[in-house]
Amino acid sequence: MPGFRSGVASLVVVVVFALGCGEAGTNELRVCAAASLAQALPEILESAPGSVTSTFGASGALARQIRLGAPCDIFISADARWPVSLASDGLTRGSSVRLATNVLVVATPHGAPHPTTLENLREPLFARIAVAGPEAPLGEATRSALDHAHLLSSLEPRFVLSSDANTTRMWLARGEANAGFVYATDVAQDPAIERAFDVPAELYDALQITAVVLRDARPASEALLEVLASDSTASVLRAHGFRVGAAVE
Amino acid sequence: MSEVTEALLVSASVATTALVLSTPFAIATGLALARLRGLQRAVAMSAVLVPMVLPPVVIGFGLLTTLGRRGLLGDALNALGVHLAFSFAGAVVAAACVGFPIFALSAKSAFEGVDPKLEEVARSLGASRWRVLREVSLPLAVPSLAGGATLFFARALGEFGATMIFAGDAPGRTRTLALATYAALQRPDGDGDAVAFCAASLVLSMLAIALHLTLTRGARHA
Repeated sequence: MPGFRSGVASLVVVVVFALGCGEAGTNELRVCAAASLAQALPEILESAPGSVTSTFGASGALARQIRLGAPCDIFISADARWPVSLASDGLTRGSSVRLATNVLVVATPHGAPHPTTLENLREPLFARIAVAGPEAPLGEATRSALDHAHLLSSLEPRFVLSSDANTTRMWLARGEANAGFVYATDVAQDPAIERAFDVPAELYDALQITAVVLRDARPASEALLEVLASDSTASVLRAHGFRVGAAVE
Repeated sequence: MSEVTEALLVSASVATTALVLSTPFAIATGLALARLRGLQRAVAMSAVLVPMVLPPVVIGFGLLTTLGRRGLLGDALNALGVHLAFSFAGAVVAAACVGFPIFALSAKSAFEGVDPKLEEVARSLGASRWRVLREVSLPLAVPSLAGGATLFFARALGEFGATMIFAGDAPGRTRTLALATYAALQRPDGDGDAVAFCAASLVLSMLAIALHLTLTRGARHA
């Protein structure tokens, strides 16, 4: 048995070492980005100098991984609270840059009846309204908008609550909900859902997409951040449904 | 009620309801698996094992595709007034799907662990198949069956992926400890809550394990 055990132990060592070697080379930059950028970012990085690897996930999950030492040079967050939180922990280098804002829209399954205003959602036709949980920025913005429109308490019983933006979009796409609150970028990437209308911007705090270089980032990171904040990036982001530049209030 | 108590109650009641409803089916499946031979056994084993091997997110999506309002069985369920998606019942179905293979496999080994001679003796004394099952096989299998039930409960408590996709995240209805922990982690100030949810999960899991060890003490195949 000792032979077997040490065999297993050396196998584990070899596997861990091999996995470690599979990580980014010394010159490769690592971007951790919010899931809403999963379509736009690879397109942006095509024209970026040098090689860049990207990881996508919920902003909160990525930020927590970064806090616990995940190797990452630039963090792009869809939740403005996280770059602030990382900065206050001393984990960032330089200030964060706003790349774009996302837009809160009411969407419906493809071919289903469209509401035209928030007030419209009170019609019995919209019996199930897909809403993300209040912990996610999407859910927080949704609640804030409905609250400002004095519709939160009347519509809340119809909420079908999900844990994140992707699940909300999926439920709409499958027709499990009659209407729902999603990002404009979700509508742009999913032909199974349709934009009914944009929620008036004055009803919720802007959904900012911010990028920040992390404390232990490789030297070329600042240059990449400049690329991310450039005009050519802006046009790609716009094509994916984000608001950039003049349209950002 | 605090959020922790609420999520703890949802977790415990989802797992308990799933366990109670699944028990007869899991025992029957285990018995069938123990008795089947050859190709039939291989096919049945694969069918039972599939949910254990599939990622829970896939199970959730499968449930939505079959049992959702626009799913394959959606019209039939709507006609019956049964709405499983986004409800407590949906969370129970999700938990049952992931827990079932474990219980059924434990039941299979429970029945295989019963000395066949005892069953043969009962048969030779004129007992019907049903009576042998009821008065010989089942009582002898009980400790191992209880072990399977507690493993089912433990697995159901840990369910996350399928619940998230099929039942959603509604506090007080489908927000189990696992989903509540995930939600807390999305907020920068959620660390304290996350720790509280984790502590509650740990306590509940330890109870399930203690129950499992106690109930299987007399079993030959735990």
